[in-house]
Amino acid sequence: MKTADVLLILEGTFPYVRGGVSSWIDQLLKAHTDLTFSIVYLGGDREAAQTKHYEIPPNVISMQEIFLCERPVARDFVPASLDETTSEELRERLSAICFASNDTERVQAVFAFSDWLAVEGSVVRLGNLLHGPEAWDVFCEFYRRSLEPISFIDFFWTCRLMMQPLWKLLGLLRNMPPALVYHSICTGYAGVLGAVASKRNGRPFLLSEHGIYTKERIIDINQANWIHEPTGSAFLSAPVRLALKNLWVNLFLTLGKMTYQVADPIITLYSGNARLQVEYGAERRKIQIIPNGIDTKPFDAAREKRAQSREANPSLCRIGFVGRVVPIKDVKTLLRAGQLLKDTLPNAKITLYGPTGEDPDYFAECLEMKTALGLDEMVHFPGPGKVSELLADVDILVLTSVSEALPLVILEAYACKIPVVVTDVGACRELVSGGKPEDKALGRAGMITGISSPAETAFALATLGSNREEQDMMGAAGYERAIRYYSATAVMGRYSELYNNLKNQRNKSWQE
Amino acid sequence: MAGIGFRLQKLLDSGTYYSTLQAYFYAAVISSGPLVLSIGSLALLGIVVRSFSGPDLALFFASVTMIYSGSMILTGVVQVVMVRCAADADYVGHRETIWPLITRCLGFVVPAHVVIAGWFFFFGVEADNLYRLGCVFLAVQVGIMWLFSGLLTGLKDYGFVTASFAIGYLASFLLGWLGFQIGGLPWLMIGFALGHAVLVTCLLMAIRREIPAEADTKGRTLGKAMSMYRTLAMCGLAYNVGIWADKYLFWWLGEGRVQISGLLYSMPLHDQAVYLGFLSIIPGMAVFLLRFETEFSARYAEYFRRVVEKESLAAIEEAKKDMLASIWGEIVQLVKYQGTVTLLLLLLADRVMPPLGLSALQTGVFQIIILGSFLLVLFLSLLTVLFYLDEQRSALVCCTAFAATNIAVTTASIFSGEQWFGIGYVAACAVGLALSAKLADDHIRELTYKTFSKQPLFPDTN
Repeated sequence: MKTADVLLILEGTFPYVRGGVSSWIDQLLKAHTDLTFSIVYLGGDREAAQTKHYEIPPNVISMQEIFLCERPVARDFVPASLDETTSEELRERLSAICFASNDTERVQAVFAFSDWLAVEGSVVRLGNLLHGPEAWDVFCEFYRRSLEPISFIDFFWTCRLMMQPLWKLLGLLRNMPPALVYHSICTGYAGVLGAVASKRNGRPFLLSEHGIYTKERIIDINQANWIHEPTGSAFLSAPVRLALKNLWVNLFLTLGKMTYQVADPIITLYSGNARLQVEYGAERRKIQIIPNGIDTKPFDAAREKRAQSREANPSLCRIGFVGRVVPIKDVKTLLRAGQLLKDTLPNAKITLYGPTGEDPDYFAECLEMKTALGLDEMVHFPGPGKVSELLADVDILVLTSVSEALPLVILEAYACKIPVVVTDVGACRELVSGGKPEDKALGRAGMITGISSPAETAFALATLGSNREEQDMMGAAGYERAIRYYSATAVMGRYSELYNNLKNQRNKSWQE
Repeated sequence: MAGIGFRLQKLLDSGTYYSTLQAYFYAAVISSGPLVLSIGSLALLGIVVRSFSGPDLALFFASVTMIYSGSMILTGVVQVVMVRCAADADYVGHRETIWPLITRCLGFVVPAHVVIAGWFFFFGVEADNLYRLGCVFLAVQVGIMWLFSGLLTGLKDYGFVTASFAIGYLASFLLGWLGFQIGGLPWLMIGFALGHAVLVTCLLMAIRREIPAEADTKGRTLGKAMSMYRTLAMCGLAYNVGIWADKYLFWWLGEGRVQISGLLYSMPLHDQAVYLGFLSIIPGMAVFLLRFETEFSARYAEYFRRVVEKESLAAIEEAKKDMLASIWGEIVQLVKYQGTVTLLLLLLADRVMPPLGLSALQTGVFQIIILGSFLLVLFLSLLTVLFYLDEQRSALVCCTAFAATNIAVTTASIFSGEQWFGIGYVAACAVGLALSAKLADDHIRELTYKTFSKQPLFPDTN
């Protein structure tokens, strides 16, 4: 296989899932026509990856897809018969991982284990871990030491379910497409794959994190209802009640630390995320901040059209929400704010553009709420559309998310000179008020509200919505900010520089 | 970003975690029921026949013995598999697939009996053609009877089943006697076989009352079922060969055997003593089956309840220890009961057997056989434990060793003189017992490991 300049390791995103990260990858690939890319796509299962929402550009020379939850080949399930030395070594290496006294030791043990499996331990199959006595003994010992009153059957399946995707990753390592630079777009499975491949082949490893994967997984785990918690929980201490959830949390923390240890540089979108990365184990000196960028050209037409439509509708205040209708976007807070606006900004219309199918239950609840609050006149859900067209009919962009990184939609709004009312999450404050002093000097491009606060959102919308002059001023500030500090050309230029530096780095031995 | 960590929950939701555990008890078809029944009726028939006496009746008795034993070995192979599949189907709530399976088994058993019995009696036995036909007819009925009898443990109406056997055997003896009065030996055989046909019909009714027979032919084909449970099929074969090997060897090799007709022999010194001695397993078996159902299976159920209902490893291991203790407790109980029976019979044999027509030498063989039967009860109990644990391979090891020992030691004993007669059977039972005890103990000690670790990660793999 031809050696690509960059191997992009993607997990649950481009080209099968729509979203900010996917658009950014699309941008990245199109901006580097001078480089060749290979892609390794990690997915959960195949059903979720049926339609490509993005075109694969011609500079992508190979694309490999692997579905981690998919059943491995039958042969993998049959335990190999191990000689005494291998059996003993397997036991010791598993123990080293399970009983590591701190994270650093555990990370080293996992790296060492994956190396051992690649060479001396290559006879070991998934079947040995699932059905063999070695893993069983170690797991039981682990259980006895720290988990005793917990449901054993749940513990056991937790161990198994943790091993299976990792095993798939190991298999993938054996035939990774050759590349000069490894580039993962998150920690987790994609990150650890990049880290191990990088160590093994002596090529540099670049990590770009938009959201902080480890944190997102921890939120998921805490909300998950499929991980067993003992009944009568009230009588059990939190460590016992949450023991299995903690196993999952530790898995993702470890994967994150492994990724951070090898990745250099580590890129994130804004300073807040950089702080989180440090918290989850990244070294500060390796972190660089490169925000998302926007090419304002495609929005020129919308900007013109919007100016005209504002002339035509002087008495209306058109509030737009662009995003998936899912809990993390907290659409319900927006609906409650809408109820308050009925009195304070009676000429408001709220339109929510975005896919509604991802969480049908949540969407149904939103529709119910809309009717219950008497908002059928004011609020509409027209579904997704082309952002560069629909923004022409938006006077103010609103976001009520409880978690964001650096929302691309804000930059898109800026490109159309639309002011924003957004919650104080991720990089939003920096986007609205500016980061560096000279950026701040451009003025505010909208208003910041607290999360889950309908009153604050309603107040900001009413204030801004009743003052067209202010809207225009803020819109102009946003436009200026986007052009000066968030231009796609500048942002992609930084990646080009990084790629070229890393590409030309000489092979080095990463083994400490 | 979505990430994929939690697509995994789908695997947990599949819920096929512990498949057909409870059903395994019914797979333990190598239980004593049919065996006791057959040998009991042979013993009874032997006593009846002796009271009439005459060379003709010796032919009849030898024919029936050959049909019963041969049919048992032949049917045993499919019977265990059929019962296991029926238990599986019952467990997953697809009882409608049981009947098609039974018909497929009949489709094998009936032609197989016609061909083999036909070949044996028409080419291997000197007799009237009508008599030979009667033998083939009986063979077919007996084959069907064995097949059905495996399903009986799964039926609820024990009363009806018992009545079926009572009526069937009564009809067999009556019709046989009537036939003999009217047309001599050929009609004795035909009447006897007709009585068995009545029995088979009754059993069929008993089965049809509880197993719905639907027109569809879904479910496994016999070939597929056999290859899926080939270990079990081999168990059935080895076990029945083991039970009969010493008898056959005495007929073929024994000094003092009597050729009845063609390939039919009898071994007067051995046969009758063996059949009677074998019957001594009845009390032990009854006690075992009753107590096993209540004691062991309750602990077994408790063990899996703890596994499935999210208890801790310590609690699970505790239940395992209880189960192990219960097995050895039951074995001790069994040793007490069966030991008492055996001791009594040993002591009383000299007085009780001669009136039943047994000579002093036969009484000696009888005493050895009841010793063997004592061991056999224990062996069967532990074999049931192995089936319960679904350790088919270990069960096969035990059954094979049982058969091989019987063949080897019996052959040796035949050439070593009368004082050694019966020792093959005793040795076989002892070997079977020792092996099954060791393996059952090992498996239970490793039960937690196996229960968890042998589960496939994805349903229907490995």
